[in-house]
Amino acid sequence: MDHIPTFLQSKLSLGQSAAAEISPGLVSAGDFQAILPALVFIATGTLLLMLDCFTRGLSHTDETRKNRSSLSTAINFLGLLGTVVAGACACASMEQADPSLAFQNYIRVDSFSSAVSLIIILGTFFSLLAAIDYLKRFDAEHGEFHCLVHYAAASMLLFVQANNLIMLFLAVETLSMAAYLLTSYLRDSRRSVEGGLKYFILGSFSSGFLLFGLTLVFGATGELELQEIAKSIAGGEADRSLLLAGMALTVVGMGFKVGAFPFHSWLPDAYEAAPSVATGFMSVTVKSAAIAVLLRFLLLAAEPAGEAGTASVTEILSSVLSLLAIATMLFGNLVALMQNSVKRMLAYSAIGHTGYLLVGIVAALGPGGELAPDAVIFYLLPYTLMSIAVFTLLGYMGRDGKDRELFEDYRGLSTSRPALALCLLVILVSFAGIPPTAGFWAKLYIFRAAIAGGHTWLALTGILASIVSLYFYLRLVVNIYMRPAEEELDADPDSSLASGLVITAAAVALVILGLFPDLEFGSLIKALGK
Amino acid sequence: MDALVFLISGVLMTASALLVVTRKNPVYSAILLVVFFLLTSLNFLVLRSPFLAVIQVLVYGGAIMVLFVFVLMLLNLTEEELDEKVEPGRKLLAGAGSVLLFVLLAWAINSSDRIQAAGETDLTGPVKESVARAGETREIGKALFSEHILPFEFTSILIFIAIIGAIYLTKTRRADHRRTAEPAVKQPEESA
Repeated sequence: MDHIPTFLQSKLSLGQSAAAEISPGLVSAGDFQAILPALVFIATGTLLLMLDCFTRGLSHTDETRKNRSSLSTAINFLGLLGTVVAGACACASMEQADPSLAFQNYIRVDSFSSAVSLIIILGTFFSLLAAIDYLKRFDAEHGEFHCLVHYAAASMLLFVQANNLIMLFLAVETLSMAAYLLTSYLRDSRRSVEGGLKYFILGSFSSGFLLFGLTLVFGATGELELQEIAKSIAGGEADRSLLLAGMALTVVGMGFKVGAFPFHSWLPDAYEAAPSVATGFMSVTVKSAAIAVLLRFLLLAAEPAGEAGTASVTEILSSVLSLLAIATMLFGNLVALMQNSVKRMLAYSAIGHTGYLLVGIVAALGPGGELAPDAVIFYLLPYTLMSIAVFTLLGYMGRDGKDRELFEDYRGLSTSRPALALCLLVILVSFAGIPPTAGFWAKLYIFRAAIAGGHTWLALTGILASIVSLYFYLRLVVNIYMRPAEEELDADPDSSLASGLVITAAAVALVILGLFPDLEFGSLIKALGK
Repeated sequence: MDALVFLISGVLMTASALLVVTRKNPVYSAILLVVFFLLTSLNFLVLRSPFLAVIQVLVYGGAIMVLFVFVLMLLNLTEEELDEKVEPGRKLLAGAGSVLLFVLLAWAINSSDRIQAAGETDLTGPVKESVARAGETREIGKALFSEHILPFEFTSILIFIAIIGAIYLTKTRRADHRRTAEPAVKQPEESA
């Protein structure tokens, strides 16, 4: 009659405690304030869905078409407005110094979660901006798109703020569900729907692993709350073998979500199949959220070094993760070399970038890894800008209802659209990690943290992978600047200012961040609540 | 007694799970899956969790299986479609993955102090009152609406997204928006 009944009773708090605690003051205003950005997203998403639902014309006369276009404008505007408000709320919560808990410790707001939230909100804003003409061109301006993007953003914010295994799993399921649907958003295109289905099946499979892992972690510690889990592990009360198995399965599940090497197989297909705006959105926000949560989860579960002889769970995990990181960096960048489609090349290079982020996580786990969490967060910011901008561009330069996907399609862009070509150049140079851009600093910080933590091999592999990646990024640059155009290149006539704005803003931001990397973004993220 | 029930149901569960993945006809697989779910719920009973046992039967054995069988019947697969070959390499990979998972879990359970200690726990005596009540629907309802209100409410967002997606993906396309080939069966023209 020992521990099984007691931990069931105390932690799930079924039984006597629940009855006593029901009181009017159970949920306070402070609780709602903590999740305000997510609430704003949910409210905007629902509003836009309803707006679209109740005002969409049933007949197709010219009159209703005209009304629809003004309706789309309203929806786009409201969607962007909601994102800005959510961003303002997240900024406000960043001001507060102490980490705060809400909703019976289900939610934890600290500077780490606020910083990642801001990156996610930034990504959402740019994606929505880029979606304005993309959706118009594909004649797919349904309210569902905005609704799904907003809900996905809300669940990502809660994912990052989650302080409890239940919330963690629920949020990751919700954001994955939205991501599957966004992948198959162009429901008339066979490719899009097929890609969505593949993503859905593999994603559900990986969620199974994640759930299994989280359950075993609960079994090992008897706790659902992250802080309590950390305490239990630090106090040596946790069951070592269950914890190790649980953490391993959690890493597998999260590895699927971020697209680390042996679990990457869904990623190129899903990225290629999804409409480019959705690819841009998923590639940055889902990855940012998942990497941040993986980092925090592993850090919280970090054990103090065990007695000599037995390797601690963290040490084992860290060596497994470094193998994953090496494999992911090499695989992503080497396979990207062989692609003929720019979109597929970007998908594989996204796998490579996951590898660099895993290097940061490994560095954070070891001794001397104080710099690493900041480095990982800093990496996410330029990555968000680059990735969204380049996927926007694929859609922006598209024609005949298709994205411009092949390398050859970009020949002679520099003569017909010099400004756009320059922006693309900046973005690609940043992807490759060449100095005056932010991508260089992002990689430098990660590798510096790895070397400081004694992971010289990881850093060397990363540098090697970056050199490999130069080839395929510069291959696109060569096509833009040094090959003559076969035909006149221009953006789709339907395209408006919005996409151009996203691309230009991202390029300018990359250069500014590259010139002044000490914008003290990192220092805002110091307190990674232990 | 508990151990005996567990042993018998364990063997049966493993057998039915193996049969689920090896049957050619998906309807057989579905039925065998029901057997598996029922045995799982039996194990919940052995673990003194009547609520979970009932939910397992209702949700998995009932609702989800009905949906499965419904979809299978609707698809109405022909012999050739059922005969689709899976690459041997892929099968091998899946097999290796399963074995790896099994080894990991078997090792974890075998070397876990907590689980080893649980074997000596005497479950025959009277159950503590708080624990006995923990399985009651009333207590679970109270806990859901007080302490666990956030995940409970957030689940509705998850389900809402799934509903939106299901409606969005299956809604009848308007004729002038159709890009792909016409389906063989003409769908009734109706706007949702």
